[in-house]
Amino acid sequence: MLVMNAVEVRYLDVILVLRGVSLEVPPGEIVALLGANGAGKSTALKAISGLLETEEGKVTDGSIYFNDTRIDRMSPEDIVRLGIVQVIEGRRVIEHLTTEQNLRGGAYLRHGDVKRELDMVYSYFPRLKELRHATAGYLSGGEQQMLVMGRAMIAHPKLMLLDEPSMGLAPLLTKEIFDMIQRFNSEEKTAMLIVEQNARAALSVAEHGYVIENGRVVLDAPAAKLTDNPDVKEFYLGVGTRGEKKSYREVKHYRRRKRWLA
Amino acid sequence: MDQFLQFLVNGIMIGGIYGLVALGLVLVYKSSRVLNLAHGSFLMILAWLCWSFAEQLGLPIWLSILLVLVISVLAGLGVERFMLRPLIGQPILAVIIATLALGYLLEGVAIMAWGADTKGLPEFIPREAIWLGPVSIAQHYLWAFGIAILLFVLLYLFFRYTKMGLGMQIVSEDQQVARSLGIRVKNILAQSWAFALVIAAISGILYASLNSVNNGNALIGLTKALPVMLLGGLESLYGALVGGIIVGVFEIVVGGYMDPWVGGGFSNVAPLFLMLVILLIRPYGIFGWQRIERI
Repeated sequence: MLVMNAVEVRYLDVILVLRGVSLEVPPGEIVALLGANGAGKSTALKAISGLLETEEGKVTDGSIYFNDTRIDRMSPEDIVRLGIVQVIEGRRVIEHLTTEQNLRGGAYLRHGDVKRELDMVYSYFPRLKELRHATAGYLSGGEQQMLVMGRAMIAHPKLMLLDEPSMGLAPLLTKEIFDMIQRFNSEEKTAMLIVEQNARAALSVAEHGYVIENGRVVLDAPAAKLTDNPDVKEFYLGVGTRGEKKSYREVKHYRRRKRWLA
Repeated sequence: MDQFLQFLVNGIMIGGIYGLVALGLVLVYKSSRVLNLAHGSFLMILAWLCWSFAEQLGLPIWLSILLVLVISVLAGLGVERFMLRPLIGQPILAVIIATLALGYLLEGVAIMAWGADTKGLPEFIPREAIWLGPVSIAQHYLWAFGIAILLFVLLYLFFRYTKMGLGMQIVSEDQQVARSLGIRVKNILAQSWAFALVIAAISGILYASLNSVNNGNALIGLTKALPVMLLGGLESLYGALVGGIIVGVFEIVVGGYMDPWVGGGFSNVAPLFLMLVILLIRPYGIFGWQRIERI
């Protein structure tokens, strides 16, 4: 459904961030995109959704296709109309509007009454229904995360791009958010591309995973295989080869010897 | 006491118009964070156009007003296309300065086209006073006030219940999120400028019908509407109305009592004096957005 072919992205025409990333999201599947800070995960999502344009970035090489439509030169507004919705990193609710107004904003492109769509979101997040007249800026971090996800879900996208849905959330909330991701995926058949620092949570719901470092895809395997990969265990799951937890010092030591960078 | 009541009523009436003028500023600020320094000039020039259509071309006044409204919509779309769009990505201050330049340009055009005369619009609303007990209200003031209130209500409903209104509010807070939801930011900005200039046209014509058509009318953009906007809150519609009434009453009451003592003219300074005080004690105004900070 979504195919990225050797995509190269530059900011301000000079800063090379993605150096030929190729990946694929099949219909209805969840794909995880893992990597350290600054590896280019968010940039990859913005290249797909077109939001690069708002940050002086450009796809300078390669191509992105969504169901045989080339989208890497389209504006973000038009890409949304194809059914690709990105949930931007950092819980960007519209602070001065209410929860429900935020959700209605997500349904901006739908015609007619959105009552049914609102109820659909509330069925996933009952908490949002209680808070529907509350000012979004005053919600807690977890509630805001639910809100931005609901705002994307309400548009019934074909592909959802999630940028760090677990950032800064307590483990219990993270679990709740990922349970919801899995449920929405299986009920609505929405394909998802999830960028995460929390590799364990992401791999637990994903079918396939990519590891990206310095703007390149360095590992690409089914999620189950990635979870077993000794390098991924070392560097992203924080577990040693013999299963015990690593001390920070040792992790640093091993970092120097990542085999894919050798 | 009777005199005070009379001042109060006059202040409320004129305050409605000030609120309406400020509403045009609020609309632009709300959607694009731009303080439109050309607002007063637009208001003045649109009133001049109305006068030209009615007196020079001899069109019926209602047709003249209609034509001016159409022109104001086109002007709003034009401002977005030829001034805002080329400045995308530039600091907001650049846009504000551009509006300042546009304002001077319009004033120059007004002087070239109509000179420095003072003219009267043809009467299109009755002027006889109505007496309410000891207080008299000139009917045209009452009409102007009523129209201002009506516009406030309409705009409130627009923002509350229409999709375009929702789009404007989202664009005003976060353009990137707006685009990620599929909202076309350029269209929204063009629409809000068109709205603002329609408001400018209506308030300009109303104001001119109360006083006269002259180039000095442009000044109310800065000397009246700006204090109103700051007092009410930069983003608030009803703030503009409440602020307008406060400024109007303050101006008339203070001016009425002070002018005999200081030799006149104090009423013109009163709103600015009020603005200074507001900026000191409540910089975001009565109904403005307080910056939400979660801890």
